[in-house]
Amino acid sequence: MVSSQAVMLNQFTEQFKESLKSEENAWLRGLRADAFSFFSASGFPTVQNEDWKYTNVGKVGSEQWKVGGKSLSDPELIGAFEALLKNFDYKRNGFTALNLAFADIVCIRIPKETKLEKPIEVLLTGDDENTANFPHVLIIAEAGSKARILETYTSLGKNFTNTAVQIVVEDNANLTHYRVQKESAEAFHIGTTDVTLGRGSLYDSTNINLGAVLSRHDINVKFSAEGGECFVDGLYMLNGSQHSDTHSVIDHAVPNCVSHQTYKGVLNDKSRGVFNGKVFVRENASGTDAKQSNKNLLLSNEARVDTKPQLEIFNDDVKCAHGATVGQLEEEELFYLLTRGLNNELARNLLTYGFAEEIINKIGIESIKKQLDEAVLNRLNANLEA
Amino acid sequence: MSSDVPIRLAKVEDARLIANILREAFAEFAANYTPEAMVVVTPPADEIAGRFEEGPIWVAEINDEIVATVSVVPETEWLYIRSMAVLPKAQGLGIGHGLLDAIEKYGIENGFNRLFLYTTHFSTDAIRLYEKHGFRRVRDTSAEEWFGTPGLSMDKKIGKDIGKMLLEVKDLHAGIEGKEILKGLNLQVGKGEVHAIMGPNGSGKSTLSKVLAGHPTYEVISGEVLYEGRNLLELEPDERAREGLFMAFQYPVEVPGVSNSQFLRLAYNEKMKHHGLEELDPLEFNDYLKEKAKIVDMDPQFFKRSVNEGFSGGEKKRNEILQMAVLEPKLAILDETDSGLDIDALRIVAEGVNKLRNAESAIVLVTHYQRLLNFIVPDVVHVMANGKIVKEGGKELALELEEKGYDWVKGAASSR
Repeated sequence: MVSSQAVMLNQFTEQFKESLKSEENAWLRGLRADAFSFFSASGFPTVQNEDWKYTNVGKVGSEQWKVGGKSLSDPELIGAFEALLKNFDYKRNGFTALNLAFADIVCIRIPKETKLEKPIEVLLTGDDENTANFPHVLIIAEAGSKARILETYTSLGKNFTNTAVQIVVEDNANLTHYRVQKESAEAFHIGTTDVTLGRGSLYDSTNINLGAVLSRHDINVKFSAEGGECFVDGLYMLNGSQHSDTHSVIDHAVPNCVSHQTYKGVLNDKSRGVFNGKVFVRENASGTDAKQSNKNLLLSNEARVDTKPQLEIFNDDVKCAHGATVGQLEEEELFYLLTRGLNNELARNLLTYGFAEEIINKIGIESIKKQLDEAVLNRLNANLEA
Repeated sequence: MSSDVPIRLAKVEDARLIANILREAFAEFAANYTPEAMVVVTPPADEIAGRFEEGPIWVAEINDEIVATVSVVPETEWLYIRSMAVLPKAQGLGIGHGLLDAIEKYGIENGFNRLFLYTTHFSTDAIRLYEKHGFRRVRDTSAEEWFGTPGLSMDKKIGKDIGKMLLEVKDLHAGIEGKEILKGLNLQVGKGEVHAIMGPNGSGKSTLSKVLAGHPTYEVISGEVLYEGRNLLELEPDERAREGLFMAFQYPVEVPGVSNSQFLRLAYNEKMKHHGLEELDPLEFNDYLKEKAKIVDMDPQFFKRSVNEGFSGGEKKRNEILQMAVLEPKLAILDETDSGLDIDALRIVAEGVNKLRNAESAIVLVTHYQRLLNFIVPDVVHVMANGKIVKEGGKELALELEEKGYDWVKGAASSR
């Protein structure tokens, strides 16, 4: 008993007791306490866990973190948002549990039949050294609405971001979601995005991963009614000893939905990428159309990627395609550019840039696209005058 | 070396003496010729007399005795030299050079631009004479081509074509993965010229294009390629391009994520930088590009699209010619540019190429089919088979080839 009590105590225990005092919602206080208990019992996942096989988060646990942010609940946190938050499956792992325990909650509601011209920006910055931040964003795009969300993560030093975003796209709503992670080179970034799609809805997400020494993003998209469509695309562009892991699950739980997924990786130096993409087509999900691809470009002999696209199909009446590639630049493409007078370095950079641009070009906010263009060019050290 | 021996145009009355000289001079090689070939090199007097209709004949005289002879036959802009002989007792006096000088003078005065001839490998003295006089070996000729006696053809540019050499390929052997594909290829391309290289599949046409452009998987085994007098093979592919070599690809490569205008401006500015010339900013370049796009009737829509991505076959080929127009190469190699084009697309592409023809640059069309040559009329047609040039001629050769098919030249090549 004494020994198990010792296991339950951790660097967050005191900070949690403190933060719980300011939680005014009784139901949420309970939820936070449950989540923290779960975390205390489970700790952070280890590489023995199949889902974390390639991503060792030991360093996150061995650092000392001061919990930043407010760990406050949004005053709007009633009604639909309460149900959504209660629905959050914090028991997936220690990160989801710890996120909910300290969750700094933001609620965004796009009213019914409303079309927003300007994108909604959610900027999540970690500024102080050795702080841990736990943003938890709840987004409900109500029926028939149309909007764009820009979710950006930045930091200046050694931070730990443990974030969760829950999204509901209601019937016939259209939500475009750009997620840009450009944390500092020393930061740790762990994030979860859960999306539920209503009838005839469209969810188009682009996930750009440029920063953090260690990053992990889990994105889960579930079709809850027929006629939904989603794009779940992403880019991880890594150098140095960066490690980036994407786990995605696209769940065709109902008939006649369409999913598209293109993830690309550009890996230089000793960086390492992981892509694990599951697409489930459930027994009753006839008329499903699912496409998935993961392409990786290795710019150095020491870079490495582990990719695992998986289709699990329990219905015959479906159209599915998936594939993954890992390779160097295509020799024929390179030769083509050389024959036009571009020198070897310029030609390689241009091809790499083009490879990454396919994803970045999806970003429909010109200023952000330009910033990302520049970030990519900086990465390549290239003067392409884009 | 010039000769003091007087050389004059022969008269029909000289026919018998000319026939004698040929018989005497070729006697020492009788064993090397087939009987049929021997009859051809030593024609009887009446046949010689008939040749005066076809072209001039010259003779050289010592003490009023005819000791040497040569004749020519005009073939469009070229002069075919035949029946050259110097009696053994008159050799070493420079008479051969004198005769060739006379022919060259005649050729230049009458507007011919090339001398060519056929000889045999065992005629070593003659070959040495021709080479000293500036002739080069063009190709080996097979036994089937000429009365059972294998030999070689040689030529020399004269008149306006002198000093315009852009590309010289000499006895090039090259291949891929240890397999020899080009087996002793010779080619000369001068400024302002359009050459067509035709040949059946597998003849080595595409290998030649790729070797010239510097494709890394092709290896040069031996031989020489001079471009503007410099060793082309020493240059990297991108250096070749900046120096003015361009290859239009048979299968243009798609470059996703990179816009056509961005790509073209980079390429253009790299070339400008290399030559110490002013680079263009995006606005200036856009104007330049718009002008160039008219050449191939291309919609500016295409500038924003990724290079070749989602382009139709015809659009890709048009884009290649647009690149050529933008980069203004000195030597453009168009590798099977006609393949996969319908007649309208072919016409647009060909018209674009014709607009880019000029006196300072050359174009090499590599093609399987004659139809492209209806639109882009070449100055010289080379036929390739089994890794070599097996036939050369003017534009009419392409038509002859179309009519007779590649089996006509294939036989010639495979026999060696």
